[in-house]
Order: sequence, then C-alpha cells, then structure tokens
Amino acid sequence: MSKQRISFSDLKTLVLPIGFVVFTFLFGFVVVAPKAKEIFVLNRRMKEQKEELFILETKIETLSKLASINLKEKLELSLKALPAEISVPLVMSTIEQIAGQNDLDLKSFSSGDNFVFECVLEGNKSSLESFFTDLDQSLPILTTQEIKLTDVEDRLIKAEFGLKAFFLDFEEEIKASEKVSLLSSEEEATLGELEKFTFFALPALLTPVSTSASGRTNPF
Amino acid sequence: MKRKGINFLPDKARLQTVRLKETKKTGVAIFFGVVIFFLLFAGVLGYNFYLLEESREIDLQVLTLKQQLEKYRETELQAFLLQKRVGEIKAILEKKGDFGPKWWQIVSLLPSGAEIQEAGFDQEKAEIVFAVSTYQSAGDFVDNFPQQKLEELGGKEISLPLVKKNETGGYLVSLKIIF
Repeated sequence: MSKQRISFSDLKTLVLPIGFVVFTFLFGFVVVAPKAKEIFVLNRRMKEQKEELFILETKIETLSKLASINLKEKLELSLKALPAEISVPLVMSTIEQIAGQNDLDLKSFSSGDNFVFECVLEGNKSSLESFFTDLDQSLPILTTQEIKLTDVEDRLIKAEFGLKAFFLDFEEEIKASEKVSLLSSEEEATLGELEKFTFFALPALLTPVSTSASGRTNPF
Repeated sequence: MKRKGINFLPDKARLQTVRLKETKKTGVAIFFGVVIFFLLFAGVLGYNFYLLEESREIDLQVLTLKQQLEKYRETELQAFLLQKRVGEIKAILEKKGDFGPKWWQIVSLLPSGAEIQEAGFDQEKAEIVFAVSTYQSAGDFVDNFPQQKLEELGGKEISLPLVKKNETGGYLVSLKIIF
C-alpha cells in the first residue's frame, strides 16, 4: 500500500481557500464582532427607548384627560381643606364664625403645641351640638381632640376642647420619577365629600390703611 | 453488453487526479462557506442599519412627545399636588371620624331630665356625670341602651361606675362608654 504525501502543488491549490478562511476569521474578529456588539447594544437601547416612548404616550394620554377636568378648582378646594401652612387667624376666624352662627360665646382661644388649639365656648346644649356638627363639616379640616363639658349655670354649659389643625407643604417641583395617574374613584369621592363642606374664609380687612399726603403709609 | 473501462494512466498520475478533485471540492466548499458568511454579514449590516433607523425614529418620537409634555407641565404639577393632598385629606377624614357629632349623640341619649354636671370625651372613652331625680331612670337608661346604638357609636362597653346621692335629693350618676 502506498503512503499518500501532500505535494507542493496540492498546497498551492489550497492557498486560496486557506487564505479565504484566514481572511474570514480576521474579518469576523475585526468587523463582524464589533458590529454584532453594536447590534446588541442598539437592541438594548431600543428596548429602553420603546419603554420611554410607552411611558410618555401613557403620560400624555393621562394628562390630556386630566386637563379636561377642572384641576385648578379641585386643587383650590383641597388647599382650603388642607392648607400649605397653618394660619392661626383663619382657624380662629372659623371658630368665631361657627360659634357666632350658633349663638355661642367664644370665651378663650389659644394655640398650643403640635398645632392643637384650645378653645372654650359657652352656650346651651343644642347650640353646642350644632356647633360641633358645623365644625365637622367645615374647612379647613379641624379635628376635635377632647371635649370637656361643665355645667356653669342653669342651661348654660361651658365646653373646653382641643382642636387639631393640619397642613401640607406646597411642593413646587415634582420629581421626574413621580407618576401621574387619573383621579381614582376614592379620590373623586373624597373631593365630592369636601364639596359639601363649608369654607369659612378669613373676613377681609375693611379698615383701609391710611396714607399721608406724601404717599407714605402712616404707621399710626 | 457491459463495457469495462481500462485506465491507461500510471498509478501516481491517477492518485494526483483524485487529490486534485478533492482539493477542488474542498475549495468550492470553503468558497461557498465564505459566501454564506458574507451573506450573513450583509444581513447583520442590514439589520444594524434597520435598528439605527428605527432608533432614530423613536428618538424623534420621544423628542416630539417631550415637547408635547411641556404643554401639560402645569396640569401635571396640579394633578400631582392634588393627588398628594387628597390622599392626606382622606387619611385625616378617616381618622377623624365623626368625633364631635358622635359625642352629641351620646349626650342626646341621656335620660330625660338629666342635667350634665361634667363630661369628658376623647378617642378612647366618654365619661359623663349627670344629675337625675331618680336612680331608676339612670339604671333604666343603661339597661335599655340599645346595643345597636352602642355599636353605631363604636362603643365596646357601657357602665355606670358611680352613683351618688345628691344633697338636693336627686342622684349624681357617672356614665362611662369605652370605645
């Protein structure tokens, strides 16, 4: 049996195919691999872009629906219920007005710790009952902490009670991560409930500030 | 009749022809392999181009939507503030309950002719000291206090911890409701 040897002429015939293979490998490493990597990165980026696009589309759709309802009015109502800061004159004026409309005598009003106001009222039982019912349905929201009643004279009751006032800072900026959604039925229900409440606005100062001939404000 | 071919070439020359054929076959296979590789590469290039175009288009859409979003900036802020505030309000209202009116419901349930001497009411309990002319009326009041009413008021227990005879002849009764 004769042994097969690869001759030089055989190798010469294989040079081109081998060259092709080597070139293909080199080409693969230098060009195709980075391109494949680029495709991988691009694919990932596209996925993120599509997610961002979906979020933006949903957000715009939600916002266009929200823009069609009167948000400003609702926000004003919520601010009446839960102001950005506690106004002692407003709380006092609310108590005074409710007490006044129920023929009660506001004996004392003082502010304590943790936004709790101490009040003392005097009047008859039915007036006090109406007072607390009205207070329960008034804005800004004030919650009764504790009530103490003492019999003063015939049919005259002294009511000492604590009222807690609430506030929520007004944020001017919203974080990019904050998601906006349509008002839920619960939120709508809360706003509907607030619409039934009475807001006792701070009475406008009727006394004009006197100014001197020079135009300067008279401090006295 | 079957013809039998006779190879007149010497053995070595025949071997060379076979090798040449095999080499050519290998060459053709490699060539086609390379062609397929380049075709695939062309496909990759095409896909890359398509992705780039698609990405550019999405970028453009995102930009347009962001511009649109600017128009809704105020609505977004209002909605965000409103929802945050309404959430807080809901929590306060739930916690608040009907403390004041509930108190007066209890007072209105006192026996007729009862005069409140002193009363205290908080989230945990209500204590009322009232004067009645007969002890019976106070006892009847507690005995007949409707269970349903107590549940409506959120009360768990009702009792008369103190009954004292008054100097004027009546009774001072202390009523306690635990919530």
